[in-house]
Order: sequence, then structure tokens, then C-alpha cells
Amino acid sequence: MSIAAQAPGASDDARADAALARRVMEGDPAAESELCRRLMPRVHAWGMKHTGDEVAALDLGQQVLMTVLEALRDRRVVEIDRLGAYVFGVCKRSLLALRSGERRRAELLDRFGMSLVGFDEIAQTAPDRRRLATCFERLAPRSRTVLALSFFADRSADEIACELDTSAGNVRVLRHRALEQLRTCMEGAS
Amino acid sequence: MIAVDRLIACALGELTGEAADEVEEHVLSCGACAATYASFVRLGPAIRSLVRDGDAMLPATSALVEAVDAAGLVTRRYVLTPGAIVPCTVDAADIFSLATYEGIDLAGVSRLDVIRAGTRIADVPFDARAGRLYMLSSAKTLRSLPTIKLPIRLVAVESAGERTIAEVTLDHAAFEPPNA
Repeated sequence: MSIAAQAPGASDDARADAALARRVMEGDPAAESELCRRLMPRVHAWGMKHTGDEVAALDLGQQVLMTVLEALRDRRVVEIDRLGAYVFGVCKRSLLALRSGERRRAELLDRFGMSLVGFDEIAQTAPDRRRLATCFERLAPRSRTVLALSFFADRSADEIACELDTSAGNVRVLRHRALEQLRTCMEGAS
Repeated sequence: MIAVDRLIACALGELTGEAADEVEEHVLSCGACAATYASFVRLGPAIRSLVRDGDAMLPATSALVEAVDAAGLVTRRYVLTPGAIVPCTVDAADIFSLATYEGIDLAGVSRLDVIRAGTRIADVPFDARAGRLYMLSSAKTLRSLPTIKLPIRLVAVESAGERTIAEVTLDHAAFEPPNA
């Protein structure tokens, strides 16, 4: 299928992923490595959210990529232009399998291990502490309080709203703005 | 690309069901969004670590004070009442110093600013019903202060202007390293 036949609205990333996936189906090992290089940060981000742990997310990422490569090699991925949707499904199944201990890890690592080297640095990209402290100090006092209540005291938006005598919706807006300010500051844009 | 607000909501677990699935599927299809999403996922644990290590100055609420105290991080406490001059200091083992402003009439106040040695901290949270305001100061910052008298003024900001609620003074003795 040509690029022109891609799903309407498909992003550049989705188009590039699909092109690589087709090469993987044809048995191109360079395409396997390139596809893994592109997908791993995304799967790792998803895994961080669901495991809360950098190393576990990396472990999950490797499992997901091996499963995706295996499916591509075996030509079991039907909608190649919606590879993201397929990866999402594999992510959810792999997380369940990881949690229940049903892993075919050794066998898959043996088959695909060479395409999965060099991802350790992804798990070593925690925010710079000094920069974070500086950026945190730049936030409005109320924003700092909301973030500390959210992430240190583990209070819900409803509980924080009660503490600050405001609405939960307002707390969420304040929290979103503060996190976006922090991210922007951390990236050195302000 | 997807709206940053939706990435944040998803990273914080505010989305459920199809709404969360839609964002997560997109994240797995878009490198730029995945990088942004990863930043937000990582910020929560990083903020927790920042507070745990006493690396932040925090205007606090009773719930935050309770959580920080329960973690054993409040190592020094001062109660400040209007007009008081309070001797204070910090040592090598301190993590957070808690200043509780008490006995202040906060009825009807919608915005409260703290002006400390001329520096304004705008719109701090406070407990109007209890007439209290909590400030958690990082001991790391306090250890860098010289011996100094720090005048503090609490100011209600109202449509008609500003009104001083209370004035206190912290009489700070500089940190002396153990081997000094």
C-alpha cells in the first residue's frame, strides 16, 4: 500500500511506522531496529504511567516490542496503517501478563534480543533535580501547595478543593497549568 | 498532535474508559506526544521526591502539614502571633521548618499576601476558619541565611486596597556548622 493510501489524518509518525512495519514483514532486520527505536520511548511513557516505575516500564517496553515484531514477522497485524492501535492492545495485554507472571520472555528475547539493545538510557531520563527545584520555586505559592498536596500528600482534587475552599474543577485547572509551567521551565523555554 | 491538557489529564489518571484509551492510543502513535506525556508522568514522582528531600518552600494547608509531619520531615516549629518577635535558627539535621501563624483575623479575606523582608509571596493559601497560615521552609535555604531580623507582614488584598493583618519578626540566628 502506498503512503497515499494511508488512513485519513494519519500523522507523519504513523505513516513512518507503517512503512517500517511493512519492511519488517518483508524480513528487514534494519527496519526492526528502527521501528523499536521509534516505538520504545512511546511504550515506555505508557508503561511509566501504568507501572509507576522506570525499570518495570522498560521491561514492559521490551516485552511489547518483541510481541509486535513477532506479530509483524508472522503477518498477523491486519491494519498496518493503525499500528499504534495494535501496539496499544499489545501494551494492555502485556501489562496484564507482566502482572500475572505469564511471560514468554526468555523465548522472545532469544528471537528478538538484537533489536532491543541500547534502551537503558530511556530509563535514566528522570527530571534534573536542581532544575526542577528552581522551576518549582518559580510557581505561584498556591500552585506549589496544590502540587505538593497532589503528589506528596496523595490528596484527590476533591480533597484539595475542600482544603483550599474552592472547586475540584478549579484545582484541576490550577494543577494542569502548574504542570505545564513546570514542563516548559524544565525544557528551558522560560 | 493532541491537546496538552488531555495529555496531562491522562497522565494524572483523570480520564477513564474511552477517553483514556483514545489518548493512550495516540501517545503510542506519536513520538512528540509520547515525549510530552512522559514528562508529565515523570513530574509527579519528581515532585514527591523534591518535597521528601526538603527542597521546596511550601505555603501549606493543614493536610499538607499533616502529611509532611507524618513523614518525619518537620524538624523545627515556630508559632507566630501578631506583634511577636520570635527567635529562630536551623541546624544541620533540619529538613523543614514549620511556621504557623496563629491568632490572626482572616474573616472575609479572599487573598492574603506575605511580605517577608520586602519580598512579596502573593496569594498564599490559609485557613480562614481557624485563623491560621502555615509556611514550610526548606532548611537548606534557611542554612544560607545570615543572623538577621526578618520582618514579616501579612496583607489582605482587597478591592479597596491592601490591609495589614499582622506583623511579626523572625529573629534568625545563622546556622553554625558542627565543625565551625
